[in-house]
Amino acid sequence: MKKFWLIIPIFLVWFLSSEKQVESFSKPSESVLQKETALSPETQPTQEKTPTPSEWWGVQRYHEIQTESFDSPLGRTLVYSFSQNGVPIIGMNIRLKERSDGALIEEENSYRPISEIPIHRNVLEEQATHLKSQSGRYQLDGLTADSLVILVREGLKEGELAFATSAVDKARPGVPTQLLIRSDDGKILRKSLGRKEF
Amino acid sequence: MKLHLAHTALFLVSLLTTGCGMRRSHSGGLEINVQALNLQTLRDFRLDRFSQGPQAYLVIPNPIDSPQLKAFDFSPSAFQHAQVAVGLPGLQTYSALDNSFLKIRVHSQFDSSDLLVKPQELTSATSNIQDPKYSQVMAYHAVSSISDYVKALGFSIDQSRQLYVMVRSNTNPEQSTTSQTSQEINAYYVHNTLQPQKPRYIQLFGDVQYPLGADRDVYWHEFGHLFNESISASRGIDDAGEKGAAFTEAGAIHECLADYLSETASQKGYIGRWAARNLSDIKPNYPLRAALSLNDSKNRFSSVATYQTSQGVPEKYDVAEWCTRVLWDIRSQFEKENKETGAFLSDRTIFAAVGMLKKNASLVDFKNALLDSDKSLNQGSHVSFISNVFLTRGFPDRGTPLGQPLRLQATAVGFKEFNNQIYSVTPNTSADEIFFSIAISNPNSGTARNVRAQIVSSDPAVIPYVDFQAYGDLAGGASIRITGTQYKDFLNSVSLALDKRAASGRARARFYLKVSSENAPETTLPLELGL
Ligand SMILES: [Zn+2]
Repeated sequence: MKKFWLIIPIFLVWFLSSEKQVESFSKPSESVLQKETALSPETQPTQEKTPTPSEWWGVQRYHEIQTESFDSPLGRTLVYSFSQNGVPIIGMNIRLKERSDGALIEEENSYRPISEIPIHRNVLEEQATHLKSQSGRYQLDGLTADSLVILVREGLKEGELAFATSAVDKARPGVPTQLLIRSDDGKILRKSLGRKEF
Repeated sequence: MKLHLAHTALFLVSLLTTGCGMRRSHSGGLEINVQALNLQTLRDFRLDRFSQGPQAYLVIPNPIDSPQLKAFDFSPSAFQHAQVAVGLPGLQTYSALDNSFLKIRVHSQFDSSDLLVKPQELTSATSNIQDPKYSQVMAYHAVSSISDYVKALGFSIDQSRQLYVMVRSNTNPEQSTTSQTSQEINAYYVHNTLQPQKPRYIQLFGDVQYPLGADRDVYWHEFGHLFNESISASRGIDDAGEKGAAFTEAGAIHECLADYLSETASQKGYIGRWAARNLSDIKPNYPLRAALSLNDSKNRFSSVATYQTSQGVPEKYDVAEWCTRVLWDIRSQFEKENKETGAFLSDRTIFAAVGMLKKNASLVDFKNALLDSDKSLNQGSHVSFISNVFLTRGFPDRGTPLGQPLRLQATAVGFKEFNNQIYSVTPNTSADEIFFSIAISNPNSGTARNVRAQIVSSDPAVIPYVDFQAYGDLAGGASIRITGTQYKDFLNSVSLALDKRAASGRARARFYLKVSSENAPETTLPLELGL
């Protein structure tokens, strides 16, 4: 019986120390709150305004944000992806993971304030036509100037314009391939053979 | 008094278990968690009661597994007798089986309207199981029902892009010409990761006697891949597989979960008994794969996951099948605890674990995620059971720590296409793609777990294509060798291309080849190639 009373204070100490773990998990939300108070006096001196995600993360005005939310019994994942003039940007996004009680437990941020890329549709049409007409390793029948993306790669300060397309690889003709092709010189920047079979 | 003390202690224990980091849960106890399930939907689903929307008549899940048919019988009267009414909820157009998310087609995204089933002709569309119209109705029923099932478990589906299901797909589902119909008997899920403007596809191939499109399990498996990507918010749990890796544990996990979804939702514990009738190498009445323990080699980890000189890398689907047996053991335990809700709670625990997986996840990651998921959702009441199941199925976890790093030798080999032929060339910017002739050996006496090769580079002049390949478990003293003279000899290697423009005037590009495993020190080989 006495042993029970001994165990209880130990439990209490352990419980309190494990509460600190909760706080360390919640750190990203604290940093968000700090930014919130830091931003409010500058942006809206008289009103209390909740900062937008753009303000929190310094998202450039020419970058549009798309938000997706995924629910699970353990909580919610929010994914912010970006585009410029409607052109999707591949290679940078922000992911927030919330526990089911709403506490932020993880933040992954690969957003970079890359410069605005000039998009000249007529030039892109010419580039797409040129790339299709070239005979090379990949048959690019499906390539169109509309399926344009901006790719952000590690080690480069700026994004690159690329066409996203399905292709036939002459080295593996039976395996459907998807490519990101740099628009101005046809360099293959990414390759995917992504399909899941039965 | 005694009772009072015990209550105090129990209260503190419960605070303790719910108070640590990720384990803390707002809803608390198991009963509240059960209430979070949409039990009515789940019960109806289990009984194949789908009453919402216009009624169609289908043999579910397929004629060979239909509870209405005692023996496999193709006669028109038996077929008609086995058809049951299912509702098709949420139809939104008069021209096809469509809603804002789900689009059912035959060959391509751009089929002519005469090929497509209209909601007002559901009865005539389902009179002949070999008719692609029958498959269209099955496709709509299958995808909408499994979608409702996972939502009732508490998950959401990525509906940011439309999902096109082609029940007799062209090789290229964007081309409407039917001349390209594939001879293959298979089904794919295509996430179109690199093409954000494109929809997602489920493609079924093969105009065969036992059409895959007439089997609900096939859609449930393919939908399982979309579900995996939804739970993980497209984080790339099988990123390497997407890029073309021949084998990774993550690829096996993806297939395992897709099978498990179909197997648990159908309560059968196996998949593809109907589709397998088209395949001569599978014995009559045997399924394609089973989560139930069959008398075969898929029950123990070492027999599916070991690198063998004669056969090469492990077969992804064998590792997946082993993994489904682990999950089925877990499901059986939950069901033993509660016949009514056990399987639902098992599904919820297993799929919630998928949301914790990182990019290129390993089976050790998956096991740990299952344990964490159980701690969060069920107060850890299955932690020792889950650990034991992995052990019983021969999973060595990270294995015994090894003292020596694995040995790595690598030589770059360039390939270039010219006049429709692929030639070996100097590995520089003139090559379309540069592979590596690789030799990895294990100098230790113990097995190295989950051996992987990876290109590591922050140099933008290096463009990794296949940046990660896995080879399975490598026995003590054994070696992996990937070499040859032709492109096809290197499909198990890693590959890259060089980009002179991004080199800022440098003459050489630098990167590393890294070999890692769960239990040996990492090996890093610095390499450079001339631009
Ligand atoms: Zn699959």
